[in-house]
Amino acid sequence: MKEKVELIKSSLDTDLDNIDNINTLNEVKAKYLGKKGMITELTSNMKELSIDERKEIGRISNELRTEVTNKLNSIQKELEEKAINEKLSNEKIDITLPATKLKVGTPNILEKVTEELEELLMSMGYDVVEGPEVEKDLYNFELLNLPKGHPARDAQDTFYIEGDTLLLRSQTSPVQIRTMLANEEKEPVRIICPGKTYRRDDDDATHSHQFSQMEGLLVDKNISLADLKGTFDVIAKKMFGETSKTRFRPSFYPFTEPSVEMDISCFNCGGDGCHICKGTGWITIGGAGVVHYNVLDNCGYDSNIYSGFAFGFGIERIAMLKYGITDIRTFYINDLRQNVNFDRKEA
Amino acid sequence: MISMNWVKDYVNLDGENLHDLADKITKAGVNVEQVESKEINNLVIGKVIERVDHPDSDHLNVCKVDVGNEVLQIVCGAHNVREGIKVIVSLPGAVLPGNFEIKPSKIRGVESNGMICALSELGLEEANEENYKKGIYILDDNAPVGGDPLKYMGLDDTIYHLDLNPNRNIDCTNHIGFAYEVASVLGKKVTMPDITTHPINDEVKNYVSLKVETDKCSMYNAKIVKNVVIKESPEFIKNRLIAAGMRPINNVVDISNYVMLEYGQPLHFFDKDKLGDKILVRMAKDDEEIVTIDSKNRILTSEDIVITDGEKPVCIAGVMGGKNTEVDENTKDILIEAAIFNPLNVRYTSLRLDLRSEASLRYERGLNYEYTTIAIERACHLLEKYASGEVLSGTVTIDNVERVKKTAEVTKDDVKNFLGIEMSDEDIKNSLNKLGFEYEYSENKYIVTIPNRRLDVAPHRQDLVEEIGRLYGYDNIEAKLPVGPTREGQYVGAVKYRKLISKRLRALGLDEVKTYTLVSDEESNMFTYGKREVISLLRPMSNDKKNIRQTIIPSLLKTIDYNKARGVKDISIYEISNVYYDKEQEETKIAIAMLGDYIPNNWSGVSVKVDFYLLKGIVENLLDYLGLKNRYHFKEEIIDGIHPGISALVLVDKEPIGYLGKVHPTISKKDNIYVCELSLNKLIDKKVRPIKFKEISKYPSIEKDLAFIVDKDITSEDVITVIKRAGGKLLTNIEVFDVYVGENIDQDKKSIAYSLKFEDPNRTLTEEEVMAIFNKIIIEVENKLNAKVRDK
Repeated sequence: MKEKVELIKSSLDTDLDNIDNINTLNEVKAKYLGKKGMITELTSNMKELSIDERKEIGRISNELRTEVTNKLNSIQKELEEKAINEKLSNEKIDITLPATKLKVGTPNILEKVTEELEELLMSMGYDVVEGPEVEKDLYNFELLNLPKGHPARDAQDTFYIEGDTLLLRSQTSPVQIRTMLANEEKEPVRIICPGKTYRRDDDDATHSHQFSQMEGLLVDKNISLADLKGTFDVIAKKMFGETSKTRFRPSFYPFTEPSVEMDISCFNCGGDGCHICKGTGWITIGGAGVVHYNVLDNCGYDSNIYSGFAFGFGIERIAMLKYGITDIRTFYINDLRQNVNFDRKEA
Repeated sequence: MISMNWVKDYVNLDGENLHDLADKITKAGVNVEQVESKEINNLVIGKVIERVDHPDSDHLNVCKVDVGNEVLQIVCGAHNVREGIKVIVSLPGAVLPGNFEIKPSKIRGVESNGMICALSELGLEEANEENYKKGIYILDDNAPVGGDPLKYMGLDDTIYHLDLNPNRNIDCTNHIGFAYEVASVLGKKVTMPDITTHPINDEVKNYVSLKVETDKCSMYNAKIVKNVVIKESPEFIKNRLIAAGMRPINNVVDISNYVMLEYGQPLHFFDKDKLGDKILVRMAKDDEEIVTIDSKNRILTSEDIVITDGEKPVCIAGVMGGKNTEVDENTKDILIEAAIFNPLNVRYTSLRLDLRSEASLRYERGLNYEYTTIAIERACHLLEKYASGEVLSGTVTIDNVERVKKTAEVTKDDVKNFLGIEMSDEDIKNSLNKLGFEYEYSENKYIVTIPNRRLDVAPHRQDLVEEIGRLYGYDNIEAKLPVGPTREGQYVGAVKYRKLISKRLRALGLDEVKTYTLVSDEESNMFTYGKREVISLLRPMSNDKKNIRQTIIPSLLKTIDYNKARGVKDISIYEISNVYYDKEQEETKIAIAMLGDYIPNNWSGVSVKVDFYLLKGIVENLLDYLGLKNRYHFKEEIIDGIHPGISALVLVDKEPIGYLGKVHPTISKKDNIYVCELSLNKLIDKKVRPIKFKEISKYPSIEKDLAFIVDKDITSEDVITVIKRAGGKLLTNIEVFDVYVGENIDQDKKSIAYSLKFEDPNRTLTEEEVMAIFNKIIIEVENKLNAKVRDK
C-alpha cells in the first residue's frame, strides 16, 4: 500500500509538470482521479483490511485526492487564462485605422445664421413670418412710401415680371406690409421676416442678384429708437460676442423716419481700427429706424396712436463677417468640401 | 465730389481740420466716404535769378533760384526755363507722385539742390508727351516767392467724396447745399455768392417772347447776355469743376456747369441768334424728331417736354439741348434758361433715351424754386465777369409754382417718444438754430418752418425729430428693451413645417444647399413633370438667369457637377425652395439628389450605395416622421427626365405629392444620380392624429418564412396586398428578405421571400392556429397571383 502511495506521489509531479493543454490535463485527471484512476484504486480492494487500516487508507486517499484536485484546478485555471490571453492577443486591432464615417447633414451657412437669429428673436417674442418672392409693386414699394418714379427706387434696381406691377421682391419688407394689412384688429405686431430677395446686380465677390434678408418689425404704443437700440444690443452680442458695442448713425430709408445705420464695434480689433473695419473701429450690420408714419397709415395703423421700429440685415453680410468669408458667391456655389468646417457647434 | 475750397466761399472754415470735419458731418448723417487732399510738402514758389548753360551738356541749364530764405543752385533740363520767371520748386525732401523723392545730387558734375517742376511731374496734369513738351510751369509775376504754389494756384484743395443717401442727393450734391450742412454741423452761417450784375439799358422782353403750354413746366425763366467772348475759363473755375468731377470746356459751358454745381439748378444756354425770338414750352408730339447736341436724331413721344422756337423743338427739356441752337465758338448772344420741369417726365424721358446726366438727375430729384431765380442771376454775374458779356435787364418768366410754406409742429415729448432721448428745450432750440430752421415756440410746441432748400424734409413731426436728433447725436440714445406681453415667438404657417422637414433631412445625412431661383430656358425645359406656364423676367440680365424655376432638380444637378469636378464622389443634398407658376402661384418644393455612397466605402469594406430603394427609404422615413405612416404608396409612372423603369410617383391618401427615380441616362450619362421632388404644400394639407401610446404585446410572437415564385410583372406590393388580406389581424408584420431571379427559376419569373410575424396582444398563439393562417395565405397567393410557393 505504501508503495502504491509512493508510486502515485513520485509520478504525480512529473505528470503535472507535463500538462500543457486541456487534453493532457484531462488525461492526468483520468489517470489519478478517474474510475480506474490510481487514487481511486487505492480504496478499491479494502474488504480484506481492518477497520483501522481502512480508515488510514481512506484518509490518505482523500488527502491525495484533494491535493491532486486542487493542483489540477489551478493548472486548469492557468491554462484557461493562457488560452484567453492568446485569443485576446490574436484579436488585437490597429486602433489607429480610420473610424467609420458617420454623417449628419449640414445646413447651408445662410440657413445656419438665419436659424440662429430666428431662435434668438423668437425667444424675444417675435413670430417668424414669410411671404412670396414674386410680389406686387404695391407691397414691395408703394405702400412702403416709395411711390412710382421715386428716385430712391434707383438704389434697388428691380427685376420686373409684368409691367410695373409684378416683380421679384427686392427686400423682405413687403412681408411687413402684408402682416400689418392682414391684422384686422390692428393689434401690436412683433415679427421677423427672413427670406430671399433679388436685385439687378451683376454677380461678383460682393454683389449677388439673389441674396437673403431678415427684417424685423415691432409696432406698438410708445416705441422709440431706444427700444431698437436695446434690441440691437441683444442681437449684436448674440451674433458677435458679449463684448460687442453698438452705435446708430443717421441714415435714410423711405419707410423709416428717423432712419439709422446700425454699427457694431469691430469684433476683430475691438474698435482700434483694422482692415476689416477699414480703420474705423465700427462695422455696419444693417439699417433700421422708426416706422414711417405713411407706412403705418397705409397699413391701417393710426400713426398718431401707434409707433414702431423696423430693422433689416443682410444674412450674407453677417455670415461673411462672422466667418471671414470674402466672396458672396460662396453661399450659392455649395462646395460640399466646405461643410466639414461648419458641422460643429459655435465656439 | 465736393471741393472744400469752393465750400469755403460760403462757410468760414478757418482753423477747421477738414478730416475731423468730415467725421462730424458723417456722424450727422451725410457720409463723407473719402477725404482727398492735394498736398505736396516742400514745394515753394521760386524766382529764377540766373541761368547759364551746363558746362558739360548741350541741353541742361544751371539755374540760381531764389526761394525766399535762400538761393539754390538747380540743374534744369526744360527748354523754357529763363531768367526772371517764377516757377514751382521741389525742395530736397519733397516726395512727388510715383514716390519720387527729391534729394541734393550732382548732375554731370554740377550740384543740384532741388527740381523746377512741370505740372505733370506734380500729378496735376497727365504725364504724356504733349504735356512734357510744354516744359516747366511758369507762374504769373504776382506769385509770392517762398509761398505755397499749390495754394497760390488754388490747387491745394481738399475733396470730399460723398456717399449720399437718396434724400440728401437733392441738396448735398451742390456746394451751397453742402455748405448749409457744414454750417449746421459747425453752428455757423452761410454766405451766399455774389449775383449782382450791371445790366445794360435794354430789356430781355424786347428780344424774346415766352409761352408755356404744359403744366409739366411750373417755372421758366429766360435772360439774355450779349456779346460774350468765348475763351478758356479762369483757373479757379477750371480747378473747381475738375475737383467736382466735371471736365472744363470753355468759359460759357463751364459757367453753366459751375452754377449748377453751386445751386443744384441746371441751366441751359441757347445761341440766341439761332433760336430766334420765340420760346414755346410744350409736350412733344408722338414721333416728333430732334437732333441733339451729340448729333443723334431722337424720336420723341407725347410724354417728353420740349422747348421749341414756336414750331420745332430746340431742346428736350431737362435732358439735352438741340444741335440747332447749340452754343459754339461763334456765338455772340446767349439766352439762359432756368426752369423747373416735372421730375417724372424728365426721369422717364432720360431713362428712355438713355441720356441720364448730372442735369437730368437734378430735375428728377426736384428743385428749389428759390434757387431757380437766383441761379440765373448768378450765371449772368459770371458771364459778365468772365466772358465779357453784357447783361440785358429784366427776366422773361412764367411762374406757376405753388408756394406753400412747409411748417410742422414738434414737441419735446415727440423727441423723447421717437428717439428715446431726453433733450432740453435749449438743446432743441440749439439744433433748430444750427439747421437754420425758423421756429416759433408757444405752449410747449415748436412751430417750425422748413426751408425750401430742404426738399427732403416733409412737414411732419417725425421728420423734424430726425433733423433735431441727428445734429444732437444718436450716441445719446439710452438703450432699453420694448415692453410687451411675455410670449415665445412662433414659426407662422408653412415655415414651421419646412423647418421640421429640413431638420429631418439633415438628420438623415443630407446636406442642405441653396441655389439660384433664376434659371435658363434649358433648365426650364428639364424635369417638366407637372410643368405650367413659366414666369420670365421682363428684362433679364443674362440668358442663364431668365426664368423663375418650377423645379429645383436642375439646380441640384449643377451643384453635383460642380462638386464632382472637385473630387467629391459621395453627394447627398437637398433644397427646399419656392417655385412659381402662372404669375403669382407659389409652391414650396422639397428636392433631393443623391450620388455615390450614402455611407462611404472605407478600408473595412462596409458601404451603403445610393440606389432607388435608399432614396425611397429616405422618402418613407420623412413621410413616417410627418405622421403619414400607412397613408402613402408608390406607383410606377413615366416622368420627364427620369429613367422610365426606375421611377415612381409618390402618393399620399391617393393624391400625387411628387416623384422619385433615377436621372435619365440622356441627362446623366456616366453617373447614377437619384432624385426626388415633393410638394411641401400638399404635405401640409394632410391632417394627422396626435401621438398616442400603444401597448407592445407581452406574449411571444411566431415568425414564419415563405417564398413565392411569381411572374416578373407582379409587384411585391401585389403579393403583400393578398398576404395581408389572407393573414388577418394576427399577421402583424411582413418583411421582404430576399428577391431572386436566375438559376432554378424560369426566365419570366422571380422569387420573393417574406418573413411573416404573427402575434396576439392578449395571449400566446398556438402553432396550429398560425399554421392554419399560413396555409391560407399560401393558397390565396397561389390562386390569385398565379404564384407557386417555393420549396425550402
